[in-house]
Amino acid sequence: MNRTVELYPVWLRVWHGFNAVNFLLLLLSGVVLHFPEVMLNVLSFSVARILHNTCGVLMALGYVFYLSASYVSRNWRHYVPERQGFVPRMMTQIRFYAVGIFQKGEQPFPATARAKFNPLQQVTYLGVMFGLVPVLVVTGVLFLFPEYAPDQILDRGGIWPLALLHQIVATFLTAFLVGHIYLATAGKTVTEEFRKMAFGEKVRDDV
Amino acid sequence: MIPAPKRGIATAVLLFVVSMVVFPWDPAAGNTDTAGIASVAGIAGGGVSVIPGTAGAGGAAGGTGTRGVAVSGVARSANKGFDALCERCHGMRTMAYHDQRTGRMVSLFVDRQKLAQSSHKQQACLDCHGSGFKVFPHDAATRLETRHCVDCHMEGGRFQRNKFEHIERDFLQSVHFQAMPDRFDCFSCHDPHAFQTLRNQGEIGALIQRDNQICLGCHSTPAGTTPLSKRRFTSLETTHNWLPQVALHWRSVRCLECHTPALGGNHVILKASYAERNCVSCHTRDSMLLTKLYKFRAQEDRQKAGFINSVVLNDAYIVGATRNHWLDRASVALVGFTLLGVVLHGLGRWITARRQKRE
Repeated sequence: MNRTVELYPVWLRVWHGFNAVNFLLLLLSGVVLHFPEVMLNVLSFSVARILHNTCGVLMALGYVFYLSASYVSRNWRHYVPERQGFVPRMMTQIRFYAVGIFQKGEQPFPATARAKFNPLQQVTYLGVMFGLVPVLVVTGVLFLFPEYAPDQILDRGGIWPLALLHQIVATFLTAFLVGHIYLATAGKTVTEEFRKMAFGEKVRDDV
Repeated sequence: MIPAPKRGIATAVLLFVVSMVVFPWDPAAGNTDTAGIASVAGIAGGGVSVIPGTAGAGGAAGGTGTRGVAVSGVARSANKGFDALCERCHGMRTMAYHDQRTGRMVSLFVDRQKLAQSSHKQQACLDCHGSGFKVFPHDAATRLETRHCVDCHMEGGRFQRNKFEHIERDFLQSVHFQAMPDRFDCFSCHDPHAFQTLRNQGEIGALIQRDNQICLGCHSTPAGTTPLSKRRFTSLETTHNWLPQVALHWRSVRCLECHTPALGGNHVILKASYAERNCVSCHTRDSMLLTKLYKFRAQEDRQKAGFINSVVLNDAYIVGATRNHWLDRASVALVGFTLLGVVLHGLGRWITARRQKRE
């Protein structure tokens, strides 16, 4: 069969852009709220609070949308690593980023309709979208409605463990964001992956 | 015919004497909140309420010519600070008089349990109250006696370690004293029979609640606030609606944190228009709360490495103030090293790409 499928459907591109803007605003306002004494020239505390709450709610709603759309469109399948030969395939990908990329080598696992992500992307995105982001969203929502947070966790006030978890997860996601944006430049050209995510990419259905 | 007020006083005295016979005084008795005393309580309230302009204690039988009961040398009750004979009347919850000057009922009840936990628990009643109170009924001059905290807590006073002159200076600048100097003194807010210092109070949530209750005693009703403010009474929820998470703030900090100057002076209660509205005064590493609410705890705790404001962390989380040194450093390091790695990797790609282009 010679039909094409869209690797990045419209809903995914819209959500991705929406999530990216939200995350950047959350990152900025979150840093202001956490380090107010060094960041007040950037944004006032009260504005940062409103921004963080608003974008936090939008991100949470966006995540619910993402989960629903992923389920309906079966997009979630791309996140599930194929166990057989997973480690060698991941090592191949790591070797490409460590060595091959400097030698103008080809991506060992180019995106196809069946496997959109390379093994490293699979394991990272799985951890991010189904591990870190839900923790960030849940701790953030509990922050917004502290009356629903546990009164005590490990003999201490219930909010602070949530706060620490929120900070830890946010830090990892920020590091992920840096790596994510950078590796998006590792396509055939520096801007190719950005273009695909903005305008879509049709590939031959190899199923 | 005996005039109504005097008839009330006479009845009160008669019933008090009868009650003393029916329910004789037992020095070993603990709490006097018994059925017998309750019957006296009703009388005391009614009787005292007719005494004009009385500011002193226990005026039920004042001026009736009844022979006094000597209190001096009485055995102490189980509560060291509360002389048993005083407790006989002042241990009744309904012990009160009607202050005709202010139109308010003034309670003369001393809560035995609160006194036992207070900073004054070691004091006997007569350590603070004048010798006139040795005799019951207290005479008119004794009842008019006024005491102030600084009488004892002053340079050269009885309590050298706790000098309150600076508190008095602060209090004189407060909006309360400035607006109504004849109506406000220490006891308008503090009950000397229950007072505990910030240092001695236990769980922070209960401390905050107790402290805020002092303010709410007046500020939650129109009658409490209108004498001082010319504005129409609005609920505290309305006046604080600019504050995010109002309920959480009220549970987590005292009214004083925002309604006194940032640089201390807990007794300089400011006009509402001067109250703190800058979030970052508290929500920062050098939070104002460390010099106010958490003053004593923080001093001990700040000696320890690790958590910034860790004492605050035990009970509450304050955005921007409750932070962990190591976690902050680790967060910055993780993101920093990722950025560095990305920059170096990118530089490597750029250099090799240029070299390959040239070749």
